[in-house]
Amino acid sequence: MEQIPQKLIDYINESRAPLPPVSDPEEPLQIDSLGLIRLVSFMESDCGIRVEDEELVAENFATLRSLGALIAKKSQNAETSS
Amino acid sequence: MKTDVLIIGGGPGGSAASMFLSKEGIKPIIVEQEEFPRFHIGESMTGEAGALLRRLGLADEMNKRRYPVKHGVRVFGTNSWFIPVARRDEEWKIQLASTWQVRRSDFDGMMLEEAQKRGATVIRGTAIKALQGSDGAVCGATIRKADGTTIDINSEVLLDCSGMATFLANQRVTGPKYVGSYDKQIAFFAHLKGAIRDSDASGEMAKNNTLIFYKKKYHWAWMIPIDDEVVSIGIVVPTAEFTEHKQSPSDFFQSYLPTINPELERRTRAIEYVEKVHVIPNYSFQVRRFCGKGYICIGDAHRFIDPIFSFGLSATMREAEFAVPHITAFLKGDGRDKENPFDDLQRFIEKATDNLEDMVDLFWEQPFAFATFVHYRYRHQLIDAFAGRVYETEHQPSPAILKFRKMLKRERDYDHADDYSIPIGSRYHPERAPLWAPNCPVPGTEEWLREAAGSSTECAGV
Repeated sequence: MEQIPQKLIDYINESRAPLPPVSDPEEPLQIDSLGLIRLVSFMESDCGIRVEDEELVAENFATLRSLGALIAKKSQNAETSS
Repeated sequence: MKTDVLIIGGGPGGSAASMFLSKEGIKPIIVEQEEFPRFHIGESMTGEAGALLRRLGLADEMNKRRYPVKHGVRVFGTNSWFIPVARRDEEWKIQLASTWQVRRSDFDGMMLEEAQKRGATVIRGTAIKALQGSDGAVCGATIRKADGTTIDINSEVLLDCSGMATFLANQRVTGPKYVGSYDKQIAFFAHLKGAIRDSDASGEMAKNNTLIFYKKKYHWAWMIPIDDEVVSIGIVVPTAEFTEHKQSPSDFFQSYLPTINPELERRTRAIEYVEKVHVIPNYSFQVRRFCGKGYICIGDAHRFIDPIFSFGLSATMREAEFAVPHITAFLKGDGRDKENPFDDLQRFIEKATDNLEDMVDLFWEQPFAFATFVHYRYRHQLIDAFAGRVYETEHQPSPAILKFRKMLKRERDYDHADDYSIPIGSRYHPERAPLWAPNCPVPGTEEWLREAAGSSTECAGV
């Protein structure tokens, strides 16, 4: 979860409104499908995190835990390949 | 009786083939068993189907008949997305376009009349037997006419446009008929008044757009306007859910309709039926060797994937158009000594249809990824696919389709004989899609419903 940039967490919390900010990493994010598409777009344009086509499965965006795991895996892959 | 081209089935595939043949100076015989008008499903056209009708010079007639003008497809899940009808210009740039929705009883009659005006001879009757020469080549069919008499009609080329009746496949002239990926689905549909439509003249909120409502995997509905008042609504669910409910098709339709999607529920609170509820179970199939010596199967006569994106009517008319140059070449003597004179056509059609199948499969398997692709990753390529633009070999399979294949973990290979026509599901999972059993005729809908009520539903093969 520490892998998730603060501005992405802020964006998620805004997207969830009127739900309260996420406090538990296991809590379902409850962002609808259009919101998820916007979230992917935000990750790419504002956070520099490229989401591959194959990673576009709803489970990756279900909780902060799963999203953090996805980002961690990506930065790990980036390190090994560089 | 003799003719160059004998067309079995006077639906839009047969009529379109006939009109394109007439342009080449070939006047076919069309055999149609039903008196038109008759009810038929498949009311929405892709952009390319609309373009084909314009090529046939039918745009004025379509407008005169006031068929609803479709500007796109809206899909409702938890949110909605929209795909406009669009064409490609000379520089392959996307340009907005429109197409039509049709009441099939009227449209099919108009098409058959036009085919007749342009030179076809229409015979009312039923094809009961394919005639074959000593080398197995199809050389005509025995027709039982409306008055009960039978005649043999000899042909150089027989076009099977019999739709889901799959005349040549049932006659065992083609290769086997395989169960397709969506064979465990059932569709219920009716014409209704009083449904709430959108209200714009064009664009995303146009009143005559196709609406698709998604509940969850394999559970969905369509709403297609067919005139100012009436819409066609269909619901599609796994067959097992219908048989478990033990309801009549119309009771099931009425009780299930409001549960599919809140948006559909909102739009159908005050509906009134103008046509009984129809049903088609287990509709997905694929026929191998659908082209061969003396014959070509068109549209539903060889393959039906899934009704979700309204490709049926488009595919059948496009295939008819593509078949015509192959037929004229054959009549001039080309390919007479080949094992399959229409091998190139067969491969070409199957490749294009596979592009559609990969798209439909990805929609079901990865709906979130698919929605993302529609919104921004592969928007133009998906606009092409929704328009039925899958035959342009210089652009297809598009990067989007190639990506879908990768995500579905499948490869397509067209090098070996005709085994590309074995459904992809059964190629990778032989247990998944058995042959339609030899000598086990596919049950008609009424028969199937009786069997389903008695719970022995399958005439599955081994």
